Amino acid sequence: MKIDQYLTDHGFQRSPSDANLYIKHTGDDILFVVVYVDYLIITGSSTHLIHGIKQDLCSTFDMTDLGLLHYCLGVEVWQTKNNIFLSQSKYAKNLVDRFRM
Amino acid sequence: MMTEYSDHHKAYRLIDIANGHLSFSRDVVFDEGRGYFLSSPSEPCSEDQPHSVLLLVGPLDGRDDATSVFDNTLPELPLENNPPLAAPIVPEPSPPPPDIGSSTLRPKWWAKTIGDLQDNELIEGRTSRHKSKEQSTVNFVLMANLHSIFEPQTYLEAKGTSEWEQAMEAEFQSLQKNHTWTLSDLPARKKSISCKWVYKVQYKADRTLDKYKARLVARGFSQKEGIDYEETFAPIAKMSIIRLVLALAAQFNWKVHQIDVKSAFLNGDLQEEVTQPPRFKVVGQEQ
Repeated sequence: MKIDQYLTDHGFQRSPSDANLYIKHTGDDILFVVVYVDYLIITGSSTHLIHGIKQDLCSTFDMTDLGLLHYCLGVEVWQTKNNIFLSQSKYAKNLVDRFRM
Repeated sequence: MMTEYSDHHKAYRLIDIANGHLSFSRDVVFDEGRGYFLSSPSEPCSEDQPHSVLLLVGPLDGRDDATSVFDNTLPELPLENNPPLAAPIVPEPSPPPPDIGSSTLRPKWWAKTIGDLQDNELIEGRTSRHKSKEQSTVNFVLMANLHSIFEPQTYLEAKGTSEWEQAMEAEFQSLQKNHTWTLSDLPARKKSISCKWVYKVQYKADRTLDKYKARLVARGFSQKEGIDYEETFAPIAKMSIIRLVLALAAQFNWKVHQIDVKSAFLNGDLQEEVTQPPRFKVVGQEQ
């Protein structure tokens, strides 16, 4: 996989716990990249590093920067200043619609 | 053409293919001797009658008795003798009896002629037994499996149907455009992986026809691990990992970002050689 090659070449280590979790330590900072089929979730202690790796990835691969994570795996993600709020209201609504309740 | 069992009536829902009118009727006689497609030359029909065709879909709701369908005497059965409400005639899930399809070899989804019915009665939702038998014209039912339009199981069944031919052509063009394969001779001591067509009718959210979809798939199950491939790999992180990352981000006030990969498969190049026998003739590229 090219993406695996790319991340390991750029100082990321594949987590022994999950092959799709990549971790990179830079000084006191840490970066996480999670690969999920056709999207990546990126977080870490340095906004600067996050933006750097996003730019690198988008210029190397055919990728779209979606900005902050809003939605993954049926979970809505609301990021506020000090909180992350997770909700499955859309999933629940779809379920209700599907069974015509 | 019957489309389904009505949710609200104890009746069949019917569509007249000629004019697209929907109607409900309980008195439906399934004529399964002819096909759904109007223009088939092997299907003569009187020209002064509107040509309407029944297509049967959907499972029955269990209350019906499935025995009478393939009674060979049914085509001659006077409609007056039908019981009230014309006990619904039930599709037979198994292949039709062997006396069907005398002239041509028919796929097993063909069923047989079982009665007469007048087209306009269908449309008006009235029962055919109120009308003169002599005026009845034969309607035809195509028995499809559980969903409305028949989906061929094999290339041979799809061949000759323009919709499916077009769908295959579109898939083929797309494969060509993406340089999915290069034609070559089979290397020595290598086996090829065969392929097959998969046909699917796609519907829009309002259940109207969207498109005919044909997909060429490799029958990859013939491969052996260690010989044909080294590892199978789907990049799916565990939910617990995603939760962990989100928890860390929440704990440390990090922001979580997302990048979308536009073409997931194109970024995974196969190291292994894959050979497949040609199924399409590529004009000018034969070797």
